[in-house]
Amino acid sequence: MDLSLSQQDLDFRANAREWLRENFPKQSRPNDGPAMREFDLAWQRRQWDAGWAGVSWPAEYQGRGLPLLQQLIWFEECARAGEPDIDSRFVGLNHAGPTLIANGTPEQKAFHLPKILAGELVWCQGFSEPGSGSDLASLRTSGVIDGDDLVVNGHKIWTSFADLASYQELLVRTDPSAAKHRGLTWVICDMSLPGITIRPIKTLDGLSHFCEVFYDDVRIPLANVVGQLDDGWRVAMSTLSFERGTAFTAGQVQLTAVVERLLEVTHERPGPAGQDRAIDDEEIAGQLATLRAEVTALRALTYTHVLRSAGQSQPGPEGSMVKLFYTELRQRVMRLALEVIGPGSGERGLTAASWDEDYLASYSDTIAGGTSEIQRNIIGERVLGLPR
Amino acid sequence: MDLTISDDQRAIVDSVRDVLRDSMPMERVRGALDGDNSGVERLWSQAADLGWFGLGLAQHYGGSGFDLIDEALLFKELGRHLTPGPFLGTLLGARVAAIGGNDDVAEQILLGRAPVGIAVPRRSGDYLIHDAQAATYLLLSDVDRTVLIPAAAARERHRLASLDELSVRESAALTIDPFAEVAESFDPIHARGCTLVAAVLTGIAEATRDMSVTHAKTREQFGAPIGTFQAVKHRCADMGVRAALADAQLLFAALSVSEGQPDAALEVAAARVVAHRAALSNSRETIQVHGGMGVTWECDAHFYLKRTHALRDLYGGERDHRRLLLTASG
Ligand SMILES: Cc1cc2nc3c(=O)[nH]c(=O)nc-3n(C[C@H](O)[C@H](O)[C@H](O)COP(=O)(O)OP(=O)(O)OC[C@H]3O[C@@H](n4cnc5c(N)ncnc54)[C@H](O)[C@@H]3O)c2cc1C
Repeated sequence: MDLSLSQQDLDFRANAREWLRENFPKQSRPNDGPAMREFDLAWQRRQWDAGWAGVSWPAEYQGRGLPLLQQLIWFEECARAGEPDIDSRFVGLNHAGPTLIANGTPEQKAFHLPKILAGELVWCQGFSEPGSGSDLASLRTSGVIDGDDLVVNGHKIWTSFADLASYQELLVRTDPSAAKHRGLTWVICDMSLPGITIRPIKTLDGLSHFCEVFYDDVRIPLANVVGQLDDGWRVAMSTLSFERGTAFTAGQVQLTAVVERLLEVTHERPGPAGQDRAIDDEEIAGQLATLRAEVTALRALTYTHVLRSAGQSQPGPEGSMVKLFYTELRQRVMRLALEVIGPGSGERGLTAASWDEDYLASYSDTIAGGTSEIQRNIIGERVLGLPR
Repeated sequence: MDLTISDDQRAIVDSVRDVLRDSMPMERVRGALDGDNSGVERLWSQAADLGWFGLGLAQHYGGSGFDLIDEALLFKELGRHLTPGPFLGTLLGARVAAIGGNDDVAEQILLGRAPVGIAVPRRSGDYLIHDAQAATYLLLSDVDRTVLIPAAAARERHRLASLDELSVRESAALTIDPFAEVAESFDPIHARGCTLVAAVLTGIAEATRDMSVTHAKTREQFGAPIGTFQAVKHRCADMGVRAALADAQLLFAALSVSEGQPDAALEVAAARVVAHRAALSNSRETIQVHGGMGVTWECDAHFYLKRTHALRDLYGGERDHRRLLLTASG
């Protein structure tokens, strides 16, 4: 066992850092709407043009085909450079892409993967419904085969960036007579198809990052089915374990950067009880020290999880530990940030967003991608082997 | 970077587990409380024969030439099995004697003939001595240097009450006249000590997680295993996360110390804090998961809880490490 990076890894890091110094976007990122999409895609395109997109994606799908470790290094360097959230690129790069690589037909891969890597468009995920959140497998949006098409009717909700997306990974029920987890199908939905209505939902931070999507006789070619008809649950689960495993690396690196920034801030600003420096406040100092230990350990947990699952086609249920710990830790960190900076300062944090916005956004973390309670169920049952 | 456990390491863990299961099962650990030291003595000589005290010491010093991470794997098992005895002081003491140039003493310690206790300065000016009873030497360690002194230098010795009945503590006045000394900058004994304490605590966090999971699978109430109830299942899941976190960080701490990584101090402090919190929370919660049985003497849960408390100040308490966490560079 060793922690040291090989000469190749060190070279990769040095090259990445140098490229990012020159090429990292200087303008600040718009935090909503089409302007944000254009910013995100332009940034992705710049990475693609310079050969930095898809570091660990297989070379046959236009990735760099490099080891996962170098993917992590890339995320670390991006975060160190102050990378804006992966947000609108998340589903394409971390869900749809990996799912297509694992389950797509050669045609689907050839058409979609380069577009994702090259930052041509945004993807969204249409899984949750008003009646089916944690109990995803109970979903009712239907897909009925008619000729060469799947005709879709129903209603999805909480679909992040549906209003900005060109494609959607859509989960529909194709066999209503089968048991809950059977009879679902994972299909690529073109968001410009007739019959789709998108209604943005305003969130607690005043932005609208997710939407409701209504489907009224939407005809999707059967050629867009990924995996087999009625095999969508398996396909969807491979996507979700990606989300719970490796997909948060960039966010975690950012979290470490936030804690280090707070360490600086607490040495520069007065404390809540009139101390010269916030760090002289015992409670703040104690919390900050614990949080620093925890973000340090989170990095160790992530590296251990990612490198040990490198040989597997998809990350195991241990990814739920990373997801659960990361999201709850992020809330603790943002809570302390608000305490130190003061609520309502409007002051910019590490990214374009303000500390207030980052604080409010952290409430989503323990809900999106499966709530903390669902992660605890998974850890209890699938990692520890407790009965259902 | 490679974070997979090697076959050699797996073999070390298996062999340690076998030895502990045979020589020091829980009945013998409990036997030691009633004054029956036969188990402890037998294990001690086995440990010496197996080279445990020199596991991470280079071969030219008479050790086995493994790494700190391998010692951490050993200490995790000692934590898991609640093994009593001056293992930590003895292993570090052998290192200090050998590196400090005192070959004869090093040899005696490695052979298990000269156990080493650990002295920690107290605010009152005297010292708290861990594992004082049979010690031939005492180890004193701070972030600058570690020294070895004869146990005979301890005066006014008093046995102290200990929450952990399995660890013997004394107070004593010491005259510090070291015959072997190692600067932290030359060999990071203090950092190694912290890491090994974190290892013991991680072993405790894992053992208490496993106790809880086993009980939750077998104990039935309302016609179902209690592990089906989310209040219990989620408690276990949190124990699992804490143990996994402590274990991953232990690995990073041990590797960064032996590789001399620039952020080693941060990694070690993080390991110590995360492992302490994991051990404390998990041993507390395992009592709750066990219900009435959890508060009995017969259930092992309390031993883990008490051992965790007993380790609080060894190699820097959580408070010292927190201070470090606010200053160390990452
Ligand atoms: C910011 C954000 C972005 C999102 N983006 C998307 C997206 O792009 N695409 C998409 O498909 N979905 C998305 N979601 C939806 C998300 O996956 C769901 O919100 C989540 O799975 C919870 O479902 P729900 O909202 O229906 O809550 P519910 O399932 O109704 O849960 C309500 C409460 O009950 C608890 N609960 C439910 N079942 C159990 C159980 N079995 N055991 C214990 N507790 C339980 C939950 O933990 C929660 O606290 C997003 C959500 C958020 C917040």
